[in-house]
Amino acid sequence: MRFLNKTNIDFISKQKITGFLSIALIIAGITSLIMKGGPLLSIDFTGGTVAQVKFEKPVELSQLRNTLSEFGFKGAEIVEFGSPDEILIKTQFSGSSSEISEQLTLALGKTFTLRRVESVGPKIGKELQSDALKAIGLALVLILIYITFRFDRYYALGSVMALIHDVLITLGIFSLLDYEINLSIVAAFLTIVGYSLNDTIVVFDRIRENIPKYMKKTLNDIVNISLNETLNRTVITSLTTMMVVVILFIWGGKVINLFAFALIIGVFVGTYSSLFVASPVMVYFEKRSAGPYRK
Amino acid sequence: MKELKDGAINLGLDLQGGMYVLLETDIPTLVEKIAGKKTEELREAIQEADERSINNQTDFFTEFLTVANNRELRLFRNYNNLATTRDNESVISELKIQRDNAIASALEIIRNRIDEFGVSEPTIQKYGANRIIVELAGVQDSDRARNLIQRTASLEFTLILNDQWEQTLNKIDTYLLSDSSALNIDLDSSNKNIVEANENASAEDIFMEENILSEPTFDMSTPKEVLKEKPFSGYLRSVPRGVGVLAKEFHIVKEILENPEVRRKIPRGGKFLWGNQFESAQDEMGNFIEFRQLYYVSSDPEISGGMIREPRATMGGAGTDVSGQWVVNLSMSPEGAKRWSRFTGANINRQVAIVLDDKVFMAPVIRDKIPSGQTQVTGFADVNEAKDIANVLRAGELPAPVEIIEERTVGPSLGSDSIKSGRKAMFFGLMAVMIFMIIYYKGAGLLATLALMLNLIMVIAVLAGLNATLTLPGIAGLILTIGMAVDANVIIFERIREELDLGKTVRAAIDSGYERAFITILDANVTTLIAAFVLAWVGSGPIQGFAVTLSTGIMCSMFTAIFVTRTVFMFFSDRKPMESLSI
Repeated sequence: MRFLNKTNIDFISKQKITGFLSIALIIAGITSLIMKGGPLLSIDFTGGTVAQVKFEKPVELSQLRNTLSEFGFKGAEIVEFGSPDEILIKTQFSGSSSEISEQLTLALGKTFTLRRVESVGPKIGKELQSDALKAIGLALVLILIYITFRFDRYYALGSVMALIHDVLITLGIFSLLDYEINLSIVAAFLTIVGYSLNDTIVVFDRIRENIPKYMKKTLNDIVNISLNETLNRTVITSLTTMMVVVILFIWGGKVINLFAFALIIGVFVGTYSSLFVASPVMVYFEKRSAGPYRK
Repeated sequence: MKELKDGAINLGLDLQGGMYVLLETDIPTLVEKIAGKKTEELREAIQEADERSINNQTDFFTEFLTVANNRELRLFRNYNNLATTRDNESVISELKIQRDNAIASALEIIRNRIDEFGVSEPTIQKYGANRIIVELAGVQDSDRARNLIQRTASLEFTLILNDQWEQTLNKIDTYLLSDSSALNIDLDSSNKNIVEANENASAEDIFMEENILSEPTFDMSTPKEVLKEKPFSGYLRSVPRGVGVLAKEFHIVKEILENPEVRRKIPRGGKFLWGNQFESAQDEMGNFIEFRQLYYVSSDPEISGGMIREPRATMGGAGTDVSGQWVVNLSMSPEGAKRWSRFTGANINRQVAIVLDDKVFMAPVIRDKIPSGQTQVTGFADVNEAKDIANVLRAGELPAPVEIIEERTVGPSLGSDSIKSGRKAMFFGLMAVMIFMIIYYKGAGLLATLALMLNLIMVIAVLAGLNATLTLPGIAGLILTIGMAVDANVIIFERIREELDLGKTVRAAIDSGYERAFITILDANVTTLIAAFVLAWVGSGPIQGFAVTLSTGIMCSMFTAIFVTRTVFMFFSDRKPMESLSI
């Protein structure tokens, strides 16, 4: 069985369309980020408390909101979590969580169980924020070094551009949908980085192999040949990964729902970028430098 | 998966339920406490250093040295109790040693408390210079555990200053009326909240049926007119044994009292303290009210924790006025007994507050001189509280207050839900990928699915061998590995197909397929590994769990794809030269 037999798609010439598409998506995301004053950070980074509370019976959210604000949970965000008897309470309050459960008991009586409490002080929030940025930065630099070492710096530029493209689009979609960025989403970003790179490298590897094979052809043609030759693999790996990620999204439970969602977007965008971003960027820089390969 | 059930792999707190707490010792308080001579200049310097270290995210001691030098403070004058030379640097380095000692003893004290509490295999470890990580697996009553860890256990017996009460209230009211620019907004908005809420609904409407709060069906909040004249004392009302604040208005009053400007108006030598818990009682009109008592006490305690001996929680004796209640009996050191005797003798008919961690547990009136130092503390919410307090008093007072700066608690039911859904996702993911591979690659696909199973078993074995902890993100990592692990096989199979298309024999196609694919697989996986390693290195807790399973998964998949499946291919093609390949 074979999905795609001997394809001959001219990926490079599609640059204009795909480039426009990518830039449009990125601009939409960045606009949303700017308008909302940066990504929507979870309490992991801003400090605050999230309490997941399960009630004995379904509750009326608007009434709950009133009662809680009456008891000092000012500006608390209250949302349903999975089922009508389970809710999430998010507050900027970062005092001790025994105070929170004390206040809750006071407001609601002993009619609930606290299923999960996450409370992060503002100081730790700042630290986690800088740790996360450090992690992403460090990963990108190390990858850049590795690819420069194994291929050359234009390949490295191409792949890192693709990665930035992927992370920006995912971040933008999260901002557009008003989804929060928490610690596990940062982990998802790094996984996306790893996955997208994996895809890109397979293509680059084939280009590297094909260059001495087709000395007469232009770099454009060689890249197209390589992309077509690896297309089957790209599609199948994306498919299997997408299958498990979607399953994780559907059955993996509420807690890792957003994480799985980030991965779904990431796998999609990562596959797209290794076909339409990494190689064209690499070709562009190779040509500009008039390096070892003539036009 | 079987290992998951058998418990061969440690489950993270997010899967088995439990609490993770990161504590930070309050270094500024400690530094102030150590000082032999506490001056206002020292307090200000400590406060500035604290603010700077928070804003610049720097070390407190570095900032403290800078501040002290800038202000030309000679620290050795304040710390003449420490054996140091006269320069500020050496005082600071001695203070750092004191800090390390304080953390070490805090660790010990917290360990003792938890041992007595009875949690199996708690993790209590130092983290960085002034932090402590406490992990308690499967803890049921997280409130209780949290209190137990966090209590400073500073016990104080201090005089209640009823004679200064009126005067202090007036000062605060006057201040709020005169210069309330900052607070006014706050007060208004809190009032608005109350009014709105009351208009909208009473508490029983929260639930679609049934009542949850005791009785409050009418508006008992303090009327606005009263607050116009008495923005602070208006909230206070007389309750059975003193003065209290309605539970509903507690947060407002608390906010006022925490306002730095208001604090400055409180005379030196006095401080406001809350009662230990909310209480309920009938007011003059016969309505049930819930309230919290407020006290104004001397800030210079007569007896403090170090003088306490042998605290024990028991049931109050029959026939006494505490019969049937839980009490903590304690005695005092000779010095403490002497002071207590002198103090009680001098203050007959005045009220004394027994304060634990800044909460008033009881406020008895002194009837007689108490010569022996034998004392009984009452006023506990329940058995557990009495026991826990006796426990923390026995384990000793923490050298400095600790603050919970990060906490993650997962109830056991949520943990098992997570395992259930993780297991389900894993099963479906595995099935989907295997079925796909067999349909798409037929015989070779079957081989790849075998490799995939082997891969999973290996990952679980490696994780068990490394004594790694499986977290919820870790399960996600495993599931992701299922999807990505087949990648190596896909690269090889596609390559073999290409080679076959070129007209090579089966054997030659397999050989060159594996050979060519190897470089690709290596390069592609190394980059993913880089990302995973960074995560494992920089990330903490659950993220680390994810990174560890992901990187283990990638390495195992490289191994199975390159060595195991190849060996099987070789085995079949060696036995009889194959004409065609099921791929």
